Amino acid sequence: MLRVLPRPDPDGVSDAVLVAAARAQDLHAQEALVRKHGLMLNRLCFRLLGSREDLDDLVQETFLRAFRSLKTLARPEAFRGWLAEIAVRTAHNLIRKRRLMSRLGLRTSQPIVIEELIAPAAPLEAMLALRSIYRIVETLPPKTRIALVLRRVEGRQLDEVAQLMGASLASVKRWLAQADRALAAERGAWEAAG
Amino acid sequence: MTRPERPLGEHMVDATSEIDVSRQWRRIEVRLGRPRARLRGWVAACGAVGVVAALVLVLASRQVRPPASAPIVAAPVLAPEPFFAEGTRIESSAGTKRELALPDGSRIALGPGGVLTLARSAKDEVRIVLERGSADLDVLRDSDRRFVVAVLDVEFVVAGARFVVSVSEGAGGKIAAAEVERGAIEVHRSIARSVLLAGESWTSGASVASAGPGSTADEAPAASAPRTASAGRATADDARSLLAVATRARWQGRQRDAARALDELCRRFPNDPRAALAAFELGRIQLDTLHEAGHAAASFRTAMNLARDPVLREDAATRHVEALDRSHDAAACLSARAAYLAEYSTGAHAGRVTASCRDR
Repeated sequence: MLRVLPRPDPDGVSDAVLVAAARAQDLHAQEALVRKHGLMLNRLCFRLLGSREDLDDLVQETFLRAFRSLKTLARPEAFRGWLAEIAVRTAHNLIRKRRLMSRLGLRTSQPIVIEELIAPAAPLEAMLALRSIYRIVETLPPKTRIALVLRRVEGRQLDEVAQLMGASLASVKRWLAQADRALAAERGAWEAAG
Repeated sequence: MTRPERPLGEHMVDATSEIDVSRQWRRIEVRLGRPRARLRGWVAACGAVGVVAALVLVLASRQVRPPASAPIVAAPVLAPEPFFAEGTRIESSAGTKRELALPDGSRIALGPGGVLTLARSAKDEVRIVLERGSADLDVLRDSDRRFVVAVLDVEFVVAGARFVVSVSEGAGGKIAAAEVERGAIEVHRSIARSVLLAGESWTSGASVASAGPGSTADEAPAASAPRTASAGRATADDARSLLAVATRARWQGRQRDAARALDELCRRFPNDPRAALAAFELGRIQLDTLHEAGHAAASFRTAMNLARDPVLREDAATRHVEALDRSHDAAACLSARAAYLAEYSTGAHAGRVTASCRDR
């Protein structure tokens, strides 16, 4: 009986077609790309930031950068992954900027409210893991933080993380090892006991 | 590093709805610097198509009897209309939907053929009455305001959620229904209450049949809910099963059953690695949902004692102070606050704890 109201659903049109039209400044195609990939991008950005603060700005900036550089996209059918790469780069810049502003006293950093991040029905083990991660992310260098979220929260493969971050596999492994050390320091003997 | 079977991100809240994406697109569009006339032309064209489609539907309906529940017809998405003035009554014609924006940014998409009224629009309460059709609501969280959607004799009380409500004709009369996409809503009907979580649905017909007149709290969602296994009291005989019982009960909004299972886990399996977190979750349910601050303080105390994880121990100590504060036990609150600040003077929650135990 209940159905979510239908919206213009661009799923039936491939990314390659939409990108080709968007390159020609077709507004409808650009809107279709936003509607098609908007939820995915919001989820990714939310996980990277750990809050809704600046989420709208990050998503909008990502799409704007994507539309303005569409001509550089070699494989239009790979728009989704390319968009995620732009989001990761943009998030990295935003997190760096935030840290700088905080150090200069120009920004009051808002602590991550962990209980607002976790779904009410999440299994307790997942809750504990998420709590550990989001308790330390603000203390990590930006690249380490992003690598940790992409790997542990998003569940991406190592080579995917490297591609999204535009970094080598060795660098990603180094950042993840650094994140693991920070997690271990926070959690003490918890994992060993569990 | 071990890789979890399911990405942890799947257990995080979904912070964004399609309404948010629509709002983001409007801002992107402005920043792209496109002439608005082009959009207006497109919207006008879609509107014209919509009018033609509506005409075709009307003509077709004269020849063919429509089904009892007519399908919702896709319609162009327009800029939301302000929906601010108390007493405003909005109707959407067949074949079109209307997007409405409340002053706080909450959004309502009224389905085709729907009617709703903004019965109250105040700082402390917003009340919307759905008279006909369905509405897709995306309500922003505001702890100082009560947001109510009234449908027939049912009230849906919202803290911050994305959900769909509807009123339709059933065999025995009109039926109210709700389906939660994100967050949670409370369903109030007479003195019966239930909580719907994301992914659950409720219909008035099924609920009336299953809820006795004395149900006052923790009424289970209706039989139409996708997660309505009949498991009730905790009968499991190991910690893992007790956790499963508690998790399922929480999904179904049966917070007392969840609390029972978690309590049993803590008492019977205090050495289990999950016991500390179970005690912490028990405290959260007691404090935030059941409003039993005294019991919650004891549970958080248990969590502090059991936790080997320093992060969890600090969080439990923070909530322990909060629970004592809410239970108006000033002496215990001050003592717990001093203990917290002595151990975590630069802790993540030091500011919050310092502000506790104030005279009321």
